[in-house]
Amino acid sequence: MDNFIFGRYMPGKSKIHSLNPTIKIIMSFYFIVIVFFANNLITYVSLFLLCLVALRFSKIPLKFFVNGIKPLIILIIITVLLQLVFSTGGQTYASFWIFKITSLGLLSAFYIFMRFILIITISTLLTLTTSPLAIAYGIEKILSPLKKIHLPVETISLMISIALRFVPTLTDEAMNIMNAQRSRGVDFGSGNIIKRIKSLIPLLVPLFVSAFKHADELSIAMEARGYSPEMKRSKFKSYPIEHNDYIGMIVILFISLMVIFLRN
Amino acid sequence: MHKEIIFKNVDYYYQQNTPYEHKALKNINLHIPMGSFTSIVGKTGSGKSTLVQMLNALIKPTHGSLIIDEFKITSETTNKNLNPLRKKVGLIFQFPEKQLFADSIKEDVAFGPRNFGVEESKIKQIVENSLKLVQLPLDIMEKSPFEISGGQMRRVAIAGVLATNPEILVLDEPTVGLDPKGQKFIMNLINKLHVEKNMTIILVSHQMDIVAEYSDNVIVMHDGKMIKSDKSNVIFNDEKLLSRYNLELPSSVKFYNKLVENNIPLGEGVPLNVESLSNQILKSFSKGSKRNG
Amino acid sequence: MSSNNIIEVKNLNFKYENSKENTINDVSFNIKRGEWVSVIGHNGSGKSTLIKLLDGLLPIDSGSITINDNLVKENNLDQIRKSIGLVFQNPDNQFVGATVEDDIAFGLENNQFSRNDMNVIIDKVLKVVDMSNYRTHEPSKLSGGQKQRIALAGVLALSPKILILDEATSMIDPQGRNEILDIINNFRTDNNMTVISITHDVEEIKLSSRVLLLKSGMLIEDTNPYELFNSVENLEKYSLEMPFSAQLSRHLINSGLDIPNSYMDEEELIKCIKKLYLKM
Repeated sequence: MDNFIFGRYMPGKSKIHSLNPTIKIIMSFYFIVIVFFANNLITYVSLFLLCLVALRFSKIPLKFFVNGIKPLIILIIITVLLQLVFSTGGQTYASFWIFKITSLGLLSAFYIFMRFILIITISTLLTLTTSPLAIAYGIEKILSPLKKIHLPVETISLMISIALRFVPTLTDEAMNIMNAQRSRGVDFGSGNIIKRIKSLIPLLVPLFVSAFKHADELSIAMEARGYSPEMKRSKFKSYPIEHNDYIGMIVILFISLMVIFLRN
Repeated sequence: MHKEIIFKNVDYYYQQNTPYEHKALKNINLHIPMGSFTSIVGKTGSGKSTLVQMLNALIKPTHGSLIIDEFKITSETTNKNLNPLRKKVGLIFQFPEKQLFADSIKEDVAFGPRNFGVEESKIKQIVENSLKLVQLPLDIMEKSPFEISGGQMRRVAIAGVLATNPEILVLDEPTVGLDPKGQKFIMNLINKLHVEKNMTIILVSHQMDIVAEYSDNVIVMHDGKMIKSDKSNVIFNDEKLLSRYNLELPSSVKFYNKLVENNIPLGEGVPLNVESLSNQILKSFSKGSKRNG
Repeated sequence: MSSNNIIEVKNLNFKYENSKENTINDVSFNIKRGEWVSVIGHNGSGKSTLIKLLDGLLPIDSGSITINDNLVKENNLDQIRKSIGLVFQNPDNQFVGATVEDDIAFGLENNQFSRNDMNVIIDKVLKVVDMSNYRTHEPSKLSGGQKQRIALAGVLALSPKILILDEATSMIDPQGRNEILDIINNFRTDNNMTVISITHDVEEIKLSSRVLLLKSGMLIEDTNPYELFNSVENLEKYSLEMPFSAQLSRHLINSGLDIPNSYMDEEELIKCIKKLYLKM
């Protein structure tokens, strides 16, 4: 679990880190959309290369990154295997019972695999290089047109940033509670499924109790510091759009055009 | 069989081989005698809490080994069959009331013994004894652990650990957040377990008055390293050591030093509590009167 | 005209919806500008409820509270909360921002400070709490004492007239406690700030000039630390520990030394012991 990096933030000063968060989030989603347009080897490979370049610029060690997304590999492999044995067409290489391994099956399994890798890589890269606060800021900017229909966009963004700010606190707490119960003889993650689920109760109950306590006290503290959801607030953080943001946008636009032209 | 807890060249690295890697313990060598009252002191982040978790194999040494009686823990130790060790070593974490979860106090206290395979016929007696130890009235047994006061919740949590009848009791800041009366109660309880049941106590604390008053041995930690491990009077006599590692002197030692600065001769050896300070003052007074009278 | 009293509480009553009895029961007192007042009493004596009422975090049932010449009522809570800074017990539950500077900015954003002003103020208050090197740190990387100093900085950023500590030092280590109390004491004298602290800690009580004792929602004594430490019964009744000097005096008196029975702080006790020693 320690190596699992999906959804985590790694502070840094790289070119990727310093991109404007709003633009970074939009670019990541745009990239994911493009991934679904890719349908042949060359398009997948060019998208993969783009990921590698972005990863390089983020200065995150490749080995660390690969280790970090490894826990997701099982999920990918299962999906890929299902795709492999259930899709038919083309030449049949092997068959048993109702399963067949076919050339088209192999091909679509490979594409599914690539899609997974690309989407996981780009979204992990987004969270690794963007602080929770910046993500909340980006989401607020993206949602800001919805203010016109009276959606409390600023409140939502503050909620997201507070939720993200409490992730490490609650993770620590979960670890502590798990340790405390382990030393009272609980063996998490062993035995049959019912036993495993049962062993989660001594973890989840205290965690919920504590989360509610956090929320309760935090809301009082926020009110005492002059917060009120209806009120106008000024903004401390700003993220100007800079040179690199334009370069990033041009690159991704270029790649997307490439994918459109090179797809079958 | 070793009548000691032994740390041999123990290192511990959090998240080894990642950019988050952090060396929490560096080459720790320690002997903690069974039956002793040993305190671990040091600033936040000095590695105290990591050391404590290792005593229950919640984390394992990255290098080196830890020996507790017949148990040996190394990086190779698997997660199977750790319950005998965890039964031997009871761990009371900071804010232990956070681990309460069951519908009733009775069930919560019974949780540990049940996990360790104690027969159901003995559970009731164990629960009652444990609640008596922490001086809670037995009629609260059926109550939810969430509807009693904070101080009582902590006592229930401690009872839950004592119910497993550990030989070694490890406590991480057991008195934090309690009022002085509650603090005193907990410390008296721990001391009673040590004196009457001969329990080995390992206490992590920032409160030097408590450390000085109760412990035989003190271990000073700093930045993941073990700086010094010695009898408590030796440690608290070494003002230089304590100030170098930003540790406070106990009130009795501070007062002793002030008296000595004021040219009031007091005997050798610093007092570890108010009573011995008072005795030292009286002794120097009676010597003084002999000299003059 | 600004009166000499920064807080005036008159016949205050408050009852929680689901409880039978009043949690605050006909409480009246005044606090002067620049005073440091300790509020003590058992858990459940109404201390925390009282300060929530002062800050308008709970609605008053009857009676009145005046803060800095403003009556506490629904339509001027902004004013009230600007003049009061509150630091709570659990450092984790008042940290709103994802980093130190964001957290201090939170209160400033609520009061619509400009970005430039925020930066200046954040620099200033970080210096006050001696945390300038931690400006972009995340809360999970800080110790309890450091988090509490940031909570204090966030509150001082709004230059409150009154600082209220709700057992603010009870969850941090003694050294962290001493550091934060020093910071508060210095800031208070420089800025003529009024301090109210709810506490069980004698070191903290020693810093105050006045002590209010609450019991079952009633103000039963309005005294000072000397008087308080003088009466062993009171200390026991409120489950407070005796100050170290008082503990030592008692031991020495019990052993027959001729030491006055009234409370002396450490300096006075040392002088007294020295005098006795030289007389022999």
